[in-house]
Amino acid sequence: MSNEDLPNIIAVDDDFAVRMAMDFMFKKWPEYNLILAEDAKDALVKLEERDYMMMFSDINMPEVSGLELLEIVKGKYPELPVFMLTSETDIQNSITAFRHGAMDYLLKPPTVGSIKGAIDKTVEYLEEKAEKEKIDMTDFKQMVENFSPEEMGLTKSGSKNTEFTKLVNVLQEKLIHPGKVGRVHNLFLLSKSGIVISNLSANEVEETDADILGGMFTAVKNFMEDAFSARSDSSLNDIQFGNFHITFASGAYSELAVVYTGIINQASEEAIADTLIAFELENMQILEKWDGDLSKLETASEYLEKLFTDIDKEKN
Amino acid sequence: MEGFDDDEWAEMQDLYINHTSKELKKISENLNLESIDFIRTFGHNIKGSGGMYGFDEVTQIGLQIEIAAKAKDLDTILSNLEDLESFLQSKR
Repeated sequence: MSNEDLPNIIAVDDDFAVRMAMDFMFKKWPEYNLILAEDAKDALVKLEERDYMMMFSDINMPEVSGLELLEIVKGKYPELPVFMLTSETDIQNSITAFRHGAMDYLLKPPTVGSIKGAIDKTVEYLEEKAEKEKIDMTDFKQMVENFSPEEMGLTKSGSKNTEFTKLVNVLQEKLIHPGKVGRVHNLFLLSKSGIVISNLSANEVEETDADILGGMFTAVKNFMEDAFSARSDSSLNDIQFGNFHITFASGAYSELAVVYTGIINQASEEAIADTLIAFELENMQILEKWDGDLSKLETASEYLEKLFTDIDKEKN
Repeated sequence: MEGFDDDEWAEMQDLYINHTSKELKKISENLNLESIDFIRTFGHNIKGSGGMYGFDEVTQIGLQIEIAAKAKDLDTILSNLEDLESFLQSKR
């Protein structure tokens, strides 16, 4: 594995002796790539150049202090775990560092044990965080897989149960922009297998979330086709989650999911169906044998942008 | 330092002595009140790093330099720089 593939750790200290000691320490841990910075300015440049797993920083540095650096770093990289290096006499600074978002502080001089302890603590924290996110999404996926009118309370009586509320809350968080005035919050163009061909969002849906949501939309769509096919009278299916709706248009090769709040009119419904038809007509030859290569369907985003404008321009 | 074997430790100490000697040379060539902040930082740093590399004498000298720099006492600084030079020479 080249250094480029290893988790990067940045250590900032104006004292060469500390940087040298850190360099020697990290020779013991080839599983990490240590980047050294001699002051805050140098650190900020290096932080721009790659992703980092964590940062060590001295507090007492000339020009820009470690605490000032911490504040800048937490503004730009809020998720980055930071450990401050401080002397016993700087305990007040250590408290300030903690308040400014440092994960912890280490007394100087750093030792093999204290640095390794901080790395292990960070790894543990990041694993727990990833696990938690995985659990959340696993639960979410399970909710989707278990999606049924009975379990979700989507019965004729309109009752709702806890599972439905949980699903609504997750979707609300991921799909609905709280400050948006218009109607459309998200547009997802999906393959029949649930791959996200293109996504246009008012809420900056993350790529990983978009993929899972793509799978969810397909599951919901399948459910809707099974559950409501008898009373469906158009190619659109619409389902309400709390205060928002998801409307699906179904084509020969793809699906279009529109997440919106309020009401959309007949013209908007037609625009959704027309958009999907136009997209499929233009790309029919590709879609027939599509291998998952998104670069072949780059025009999808243009269709979504136009549709977004068409529906969203009519404010409630 | 705890966690390093003898060879590593010896290499680290050599590098530290070399680096500190170079820094000392720079300081000695610019020993005046205009560079007092730089001198204070040097004292502060070797105060911290001396013990880290097993040289408690360096830590003591660093403390004296830091105190003297705060008081802008160039005579005491000079005297301590000479002590530091003798010590570093003895370790070469």
